[in-house]
Amino acid sequence: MIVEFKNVVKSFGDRQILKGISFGIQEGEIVFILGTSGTGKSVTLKTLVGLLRADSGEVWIDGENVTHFKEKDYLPIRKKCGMVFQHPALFDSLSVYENVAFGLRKHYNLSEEEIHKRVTKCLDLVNIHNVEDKLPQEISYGMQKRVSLARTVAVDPKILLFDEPTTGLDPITTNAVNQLILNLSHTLKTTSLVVSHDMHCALDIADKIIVMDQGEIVARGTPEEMKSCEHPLVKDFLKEALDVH
Amino acid sequence: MVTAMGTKVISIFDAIGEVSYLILKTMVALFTPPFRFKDFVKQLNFVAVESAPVVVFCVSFAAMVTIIEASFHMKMVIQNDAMVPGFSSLLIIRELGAVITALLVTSRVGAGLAAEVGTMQITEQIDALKMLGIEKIRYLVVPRFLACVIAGFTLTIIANLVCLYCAMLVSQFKLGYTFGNFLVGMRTFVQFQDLVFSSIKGACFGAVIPIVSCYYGFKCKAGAEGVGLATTNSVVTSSVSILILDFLLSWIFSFFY
Ligand SMILES: Nc1ncnc2c1ncn2[C@@H]1O[C@H](COP(=O)(O)OP(=O)(O)OP(=O)(O)O)[C@@H](O)[C@H]1O
Ligand SMILES: [Mg+2]
Repeated sequence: MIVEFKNVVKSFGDRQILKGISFGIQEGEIVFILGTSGTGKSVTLKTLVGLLRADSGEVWIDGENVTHFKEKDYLPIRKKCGMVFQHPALFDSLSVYENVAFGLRKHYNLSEEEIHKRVTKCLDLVNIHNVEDKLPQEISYGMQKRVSLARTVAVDPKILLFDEPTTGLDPITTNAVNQLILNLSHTLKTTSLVVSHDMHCALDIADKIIVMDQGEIVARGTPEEMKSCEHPLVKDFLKEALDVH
Repeated sequence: MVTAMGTKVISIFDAIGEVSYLILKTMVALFTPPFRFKDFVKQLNFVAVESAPVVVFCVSFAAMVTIIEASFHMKMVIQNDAMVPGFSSLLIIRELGAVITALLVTSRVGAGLAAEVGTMQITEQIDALKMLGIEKIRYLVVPRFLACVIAGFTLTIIANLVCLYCAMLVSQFKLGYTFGNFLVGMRTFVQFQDLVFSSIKGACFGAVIPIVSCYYGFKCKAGAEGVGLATTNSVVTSSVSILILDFLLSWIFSFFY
């Protein structure tokens, strides 16, 4: 298991958001977390990388129990985990190019030329061209989301966390992003955890699907197992996914 | 009722704790590498250079009003305004220059800063920074802190000089004291240390603004409302803190006379 949650509980004030979540991810797997709005999917991802801390339970990453890590100890963990946030979260004082180069400059000792090559390649992957010098506010939301993806992929993380990477994107780009996730997992053995609303994508590319509701996991399994799942929420998701086709 | 008050008290202590922690971390990051020189220069330009015109404009009016009012009332009460130049310049240097400058910078820079940091917080930019291994305090707070301290210091000196100059003009053309008279009157009341203390005050007020603004920015709740609230809170809290700090510093400085 490269990532493991053991009975993780997280509350904000007196509202319990995660009510004892347990799951594990094998290296190289693509796992989708599906669920309606506000069930704590983003909170789960943030707890994984220590941006939020679990109240109880354990979080394991790459064989280490990181639950009680200090902020400093998290540095190497976060280098391993790239996260694409639900917001594009681009730094608005930096150009598109500098946003993607940011992590490279921080983590690697590369020459300008190498950085340029890497940035161009990553922007290529997400189909972004000719806006390198623009500020994030000057490009569309869909483009911002893709640049944010490029920024995360640029530093070559071992584990990729995506918080709704395709929400708000057109179907063609959505496909491209899904292909990208699939390619990364095949070529680089990247492990991906994808939060999404899109059962259709999940059935397409996931190795495992986890369905969350109200802070609990209500169903899990391979896409094939999901198709025959009897849980009403899963059925709703399925109905929608199959309707589209 | 009692529990509500209890919660309030606890939250105030929480806030004091968090602010102290923020100050401590800022201090540590301020004196340890890596330094973010480019950001600092950019902030200094925004805080000091771009604030200078509005500060100069506003304090000159404040100075003119002060001296005219002082003269009017002196004449009414003791039928003589000979002491006005001295008194006014003392008031200007001891209080007006530093406080008005700080309040102006608060409303211009503090509000903008809280909105900027708050927006970064709710659009997950700060989380993104953390994921890339960047300390938010070193990256965001320190350059702004340093810029505001230096801006507070220099703008206060500039404001004091502008104030005195305007006061002199008014006393020349309205009250009939020449620049020479004014300076002699000023010399009997004002000492060099007044200028020094005033600049120290300016620097301290400057330090309050980024700390308070970033504190509210980091705590910003999601939504446009959240940013609005962070901005309002930071301006109100900064202004109140500056006035309280002004009192404390004046009291401390009084031991040096
Ligand atoms: N920092 C926070 N402070 C307080 N409450 C929070 C915080 N972050 C999330 N919450 C609450 O936790 C709940 C779950 O939030 P989360 O963002 O995980 O939802 P989600 O499943 O990602 O939904 P969506 O699909 O809309 O993004 C929400 O009700 C939200 O209000
Ligand atoms: Mg979410």
